[in-house]
Amino acid sequence: MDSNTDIEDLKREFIFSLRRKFPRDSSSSIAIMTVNLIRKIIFRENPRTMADLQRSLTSHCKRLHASERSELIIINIGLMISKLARDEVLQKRGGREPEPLYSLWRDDDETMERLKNADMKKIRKDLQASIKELSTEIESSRDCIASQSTELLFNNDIVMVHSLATSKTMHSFLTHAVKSGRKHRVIDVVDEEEHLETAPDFVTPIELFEVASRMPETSKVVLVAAAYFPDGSCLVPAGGHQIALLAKRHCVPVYVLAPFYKLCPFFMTDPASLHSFRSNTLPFDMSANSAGHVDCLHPAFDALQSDLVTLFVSNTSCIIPSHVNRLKEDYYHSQDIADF
Amino acid sequence: MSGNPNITEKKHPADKIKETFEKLKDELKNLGMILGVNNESTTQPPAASTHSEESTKPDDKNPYHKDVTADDKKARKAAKAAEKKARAEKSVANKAAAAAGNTQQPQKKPEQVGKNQEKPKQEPKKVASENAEKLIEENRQLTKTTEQLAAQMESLVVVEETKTNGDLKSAIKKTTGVEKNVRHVHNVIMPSAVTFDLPKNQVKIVASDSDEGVASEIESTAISQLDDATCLAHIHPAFLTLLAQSELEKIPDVETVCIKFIEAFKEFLRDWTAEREKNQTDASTFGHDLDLAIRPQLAHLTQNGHWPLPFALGNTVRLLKRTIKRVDDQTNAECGETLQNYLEDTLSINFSSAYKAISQLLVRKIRQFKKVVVFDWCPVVNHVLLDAREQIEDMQLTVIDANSSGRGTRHVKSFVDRGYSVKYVTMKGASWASRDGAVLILGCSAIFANGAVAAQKGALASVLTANHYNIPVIVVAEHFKFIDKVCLFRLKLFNELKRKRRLVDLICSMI
Repeated sequence: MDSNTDIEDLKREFIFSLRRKFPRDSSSSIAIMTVNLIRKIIFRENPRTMADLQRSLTSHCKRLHASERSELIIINIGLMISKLARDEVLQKRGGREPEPLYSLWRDDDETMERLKNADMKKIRKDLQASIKELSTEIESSRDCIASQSTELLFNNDIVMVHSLATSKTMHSFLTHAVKSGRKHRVIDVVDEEEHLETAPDFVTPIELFEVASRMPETSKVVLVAAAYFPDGSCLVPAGGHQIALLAKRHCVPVYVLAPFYKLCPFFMTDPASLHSFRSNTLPFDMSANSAGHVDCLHPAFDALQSDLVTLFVSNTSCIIPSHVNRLKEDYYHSQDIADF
Repeated sequence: MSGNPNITEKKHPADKIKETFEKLKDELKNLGMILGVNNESTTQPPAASTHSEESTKPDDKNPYHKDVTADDKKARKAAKAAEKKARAEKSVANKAAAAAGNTQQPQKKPEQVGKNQEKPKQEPKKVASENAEKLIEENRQLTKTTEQLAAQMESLVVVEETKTNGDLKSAIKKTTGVEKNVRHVHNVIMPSAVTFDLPKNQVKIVASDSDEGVASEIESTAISQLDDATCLAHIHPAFLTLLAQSELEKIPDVETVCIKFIEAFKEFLRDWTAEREKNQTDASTFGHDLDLAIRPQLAHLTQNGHWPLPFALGNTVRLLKRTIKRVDDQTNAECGETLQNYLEDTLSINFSSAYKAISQLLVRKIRQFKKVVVFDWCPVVNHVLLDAREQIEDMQLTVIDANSSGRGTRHVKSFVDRGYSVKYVTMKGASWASRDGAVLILGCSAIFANGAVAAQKGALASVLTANHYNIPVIVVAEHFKFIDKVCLFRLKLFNELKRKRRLVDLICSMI
C-alpha cells in the first residue's frame, strides 16, 4: 500500500509540475521527467513478470495522459520503456528478435506465455541501465539534430522558421549552422508584436500574415514538430499549416525537426481531441460587450499532412515521411501498440 | 529606377547631348529675357537625373495656407504654362538633335535640365505678375494651335507606336508614360522662334489616354512645383487633410479612401468654382482649366508618383477626369453644378447602392452555407454579412484576423452590437477556421484583368487553407475595383495611401 500511495503521490506531483510551468517546458525536459517518473514507479512497484510490467506501464501512462491530454510524450516514453524491457528479456533468453516480416505467424502461444512470465528480477538491473541510456539519448537529441543543420542549410539560403522563441531545439539548430560559418538569412515568424523586438540578431522577425509575401524569396522552411505519426503527418505549432501550404505552392522544402521521443505510434485522426486551445485573444476593451457572444479560438497545434513535409530531421538521421512507419519499429514493439 | 536608363543613355551619344544642351541654353536665355529674368537662371545641365525630382521637399510646410489670392493663382498658372512651354522648347531641340534614332535618350535629359532650370526661374516668375495676363492670352491663342497640332500628332502616334513596340523595356517601366508623351511631340514641327506654346506633353489628346496611370501623367508638372518653399500653399487643404489622415493610417480600407477623396474633391471644386466666378473667366475652358488645376493636387497626393494611388481610386480619378473634360455648360456655376452632381452620383452608385446590390446577390448564394468565414475588414463584406444574418437565422460567422486586435474586430463589434454571436480567430487559427467553415468571403482592393485579386496581407494564406479543405472562396467587389491592368509579379504592391506596412497580397486566379 505504501508503494501505491507513493506512486500516486509521484504521479500527482508530476502532473502538477507540468501544469505549473507556464509557458510550457521544453519537450525534452518533459520527456526526461517522464522517464525519471516511470523509473521510480517501476522501482517502487517491483513487477515480477513481464506481463505485470506491461500492465502497470499502460495503466499509469493512460492515466497520466488522460490528465494532460496534449502531452503525447508520456505515452511514447511509456511504450519505449516497455520495448526496452522486451528487448532485455529477449537478450537474456538469447533468442533473436523475430523479424518483423514473420512476426505475425512466428509468435505462437508458447512463446507468448514464456515472454509474459519472464522473470523481471534478472533483467532489472539491465532495464534500469537501458532506461538511463534512454534519458541520455533524450538529452543528446537536441545536439544531434543541431549537428544536422550543416547538411541541410547552405550558404545564401533564406530560411523561414516558426516558433524560434519557444523552441530550444530550433534555436540550437540555427546557431549551429551560423557557427559553422554558414551565411544565411533567417526569417522568423513570430506570434506577436512584442516578440518582434526580442528576436536574436541573426533573424528578421515577421508576422504570420506577411508570410505569403516573403515566401517567394525563401529557399527553405524549418518547423518544429510537436508530435509526428506513423503516416508521416505531424502536429506543428499553430500557423504552421499555412506556412507549409504556402511553401508547397512555391515549391520550397519543409524540414520538420522531430526528435525520436515525439514519434507517436498511434494515428491521430482528430487533433481537436488534444484539448489544446489557449487563451482569449480579443482586446480587453471589447470584453464588456462581447461576453457571451464571442467565441475566441486560439489553437495550439496545426495538423500537417505528410505531403506537405519534405523531411523529418530526427536525432539519428533525416527521414522522409513515408519512412516514419518503419522507424517506429525501432522504438516501439508492435505487440505493445496492439495491446494498448 | 528611372535614373538608371538616363545614366546609361548619357554615355551613348554624348556629343549629341552636348549640342542639345547648347541649344537649350540659348533658348532658355531667350525665355528668361522675355520674362524679364536675369541670366543667372540659365544654369548648367545637371550631372544626373532623378535626384532633382526626389530632392527638395521644403522644410517649412504651410499646410493650411489659405490666403491664395486670385492674382497669385493666375501668376502660378502662368508660371506653370511657361514652364511647360519651356519644356516644349526643349523637346523641339531634342527633335532637331535626335531626329533619326534612339528616341529615348535626349528626352529625359533635357526634361530634367529644364526642370532644374525651371526651379530657379520659378521664383522670379511668381514675382512677374504683370506678365501673367499677357501669358494667359497667349495661352489661349496657342490652345488653338495645339489642337491643330494634335491632329498631326495623332497621325504620328501610329508611326511612333510601331517604333516603340519592339522596345520591351518601355512596357514595364512606369516612366514610359512621360517618355511616350514627349515622343509624340517629337515629330511635330514647331514654329522656330521662341513662342510660348501649350505643352504637348501635358495635353493628353492622343490615343494613349488611360493606361499609364495618373502618376505618370503628372510627373512632369509635379517636379517643378514641389521645390518651392511655399509649394504646399497651392495644395487645397482638403487634399492635405486626406494625405495626413492616410499617413497616420486612420483610413482602414480602400472604400473609405475613395469616399474621402471624392469629398475632398467636392470641396476643392466648390472653392475653385467660386474663384472662377469671381474672376469671371470664360466657362468654355472650365473643363480644361480644372483638369490642369487638379494635376498638382494629385501629384502631391501621389508624392510625384512615388506612391501611386490605389488601383480603385485611380479608376475613379480617371472617370472623373473624363467627365471634367466633357463638361460643357454655359456658366461656371452650371459647370460646377454638373460636376457636383456627378460626384454625388458616383458616391451613391459606387458605395451605398453597390453594397445593397452585392448583398442581394450574395445572400441568395450563401443561404445554403451555414458557416461563413471572413478574413479581415472590408465594409462591403460587413454589409453583406449583416444583411445575411438578418435573413438567415442560423448563420454562424467566423472572423479570421490578420493580427490580434486587428481590423477584424470591427466585424466582431458590428455583430456583437446587434447581439449576434461570432467566432474570432487570429491568423494562427486560420486553418481551424477553414476546417470548420463552409464558405470564405473576401473583400479586395482590386481585381485585375487576368482574374488575379489584390487583397489584404494574409488573404492568400486564408485562401490556401480554404482551398485545402475544399471550401469555396467568394470575392466581393464594387465595379470600380475592376482594373484594366494585369499584375503578374507579386512584389511590393504598396497599398498606396496607406504607406507603411499595409502591403497587399496577390491572389492569382488559379485558386
